Amino acid sequence: MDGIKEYLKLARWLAGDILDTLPEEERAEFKTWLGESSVRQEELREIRDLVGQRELDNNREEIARKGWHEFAGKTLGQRRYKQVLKYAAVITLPIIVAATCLTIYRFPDKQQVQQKQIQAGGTKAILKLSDGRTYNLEHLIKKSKITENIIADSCVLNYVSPDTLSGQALVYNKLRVPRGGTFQLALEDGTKIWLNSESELTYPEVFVGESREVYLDGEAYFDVAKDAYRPFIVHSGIQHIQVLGTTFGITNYSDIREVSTTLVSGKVQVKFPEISDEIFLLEPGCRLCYDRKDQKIRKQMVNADEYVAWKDGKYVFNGKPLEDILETLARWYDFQVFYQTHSVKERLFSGELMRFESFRDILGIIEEVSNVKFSIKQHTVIVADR
Amino acid sequence: MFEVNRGSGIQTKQEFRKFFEDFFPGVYFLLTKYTKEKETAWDLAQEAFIKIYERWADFEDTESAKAFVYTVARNLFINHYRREQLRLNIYKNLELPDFDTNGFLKNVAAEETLRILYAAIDQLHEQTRTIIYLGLKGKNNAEIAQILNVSVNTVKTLKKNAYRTLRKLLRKDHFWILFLLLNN
Repeated sequence: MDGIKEYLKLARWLAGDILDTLPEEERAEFKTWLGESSVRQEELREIRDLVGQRELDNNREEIARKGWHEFAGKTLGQRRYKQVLKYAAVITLPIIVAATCLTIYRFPDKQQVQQKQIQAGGTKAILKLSDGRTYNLEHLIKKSKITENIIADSCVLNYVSPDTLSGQALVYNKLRVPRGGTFQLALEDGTKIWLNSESELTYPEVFVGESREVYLDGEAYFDVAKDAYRPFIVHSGIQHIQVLGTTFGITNYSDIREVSTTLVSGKVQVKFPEISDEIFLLEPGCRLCYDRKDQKIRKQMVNADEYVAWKDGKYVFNGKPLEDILETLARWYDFQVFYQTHSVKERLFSGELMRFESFRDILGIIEEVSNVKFSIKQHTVIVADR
Repeated sequence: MFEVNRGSGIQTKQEFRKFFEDFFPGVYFLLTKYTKEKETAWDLAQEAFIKIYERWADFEDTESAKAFVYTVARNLFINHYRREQLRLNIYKNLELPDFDTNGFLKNVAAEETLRILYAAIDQLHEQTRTIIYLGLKGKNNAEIAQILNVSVNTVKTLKKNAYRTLRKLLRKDHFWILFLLLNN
């Protein structure tokens, strides 16, 4: 189908024409081409109509990202490696080693370019209003008004409380933070929320009624505004957390074994209505977690700051297995992990890492302390024993 | 199977990721239009990119790769359509009614136009982007001003600035060609 290249060129002209950005000489070329036959003009009109008919979608980026994740999993990622390992464990290792050596040997300067590919995350989020309108909040430089009551800043989304509550209905918005992102939110009642990577919060534009209820997937830190008359309730998977005014962190990632609530200050009560009638009261420093695997609920005293340090741009690990640590980092730096030596997964690591540090430095620190060796290939970090 | 470093190796793979991210959504949207099913479209789009990945080292320039991926998408759809027809036992209707080459090419051109538009618009700031979107939807300056609650002059200024930025961006004709140049 040779004609296809013609049409791709036409598309470039058309886009430039729509945006009125065609350079003079190309515009002339385009006009001449078009003037040569009325069939072309008719066809161009049809294409323009097709462009106009399409819903304006802002989610191309997300489709690209999701598509790539799946694709990489199929062709380059772990699944493939695992398959190969299963059938030819002996061969795989030399190949990977050889590939790595070759790369270093043949492209010494490209190695640096390579490592730049994995970078720290940033402030990113997608806001979805109740009417379906979506906004990408990633590249905001100055304040912008989304609606009369919603104002977005470079890293915070602010809700202004309305002058009057009468006539207000419960209208839900959704804020989604992708992998490699974080964002803050100030709700209409004054409650502040820090959303971590790969997390989603659903909340009303204005709290109406006797309680303030929000829904969380992923991880967030809450600083709830006091309001004795209207309890604040977070629905997070099987956890229901009810508070009156307090600060705490919640973790509820569907791909992680534990869901948890860690209380920093104040008081909260947690319920798991689907599995138990019990009400758990937490005091500051308390961490309540539910283990999806053995389905047990455990309460422990912890250094709470350690569990919510991410909101201040830090990671604090205290004797955590390497596997958990890399899983946490992967959400922020957006990479995949491949273990050449499985036993290193269990190796424990303690330390404090700064979230905005370069990925290379972070790996360097872990390498030194845990006695492992990392190598980076595309977006995959290969972990080996040293 | 043992060719770990074919072509220019990893370098090429990086380019491939860029290519994937630029073109996957368009191919997916195109297939959605034809299959009318998001899931099928998604799987076919993935398959199309696996095909192109396998031959990635053979392409001399992006134009060829682009043309190839859309053509593969078309072939995959036709195969899928035929299989479906057979599965559903509709033997009599094996012709592809509204799927002539010409119609397909027009849709490809539309998809490609949208892709370029979005790539350019995505580089703009939020408010400007909204203005451009509203403009594409056919709203005039006065209407846009009313919707966004700003003056007509503000809309005009922002539009003018946006076009200036876009002109700069588009002159580079696809960031991704630029990307190749920078990396070579």
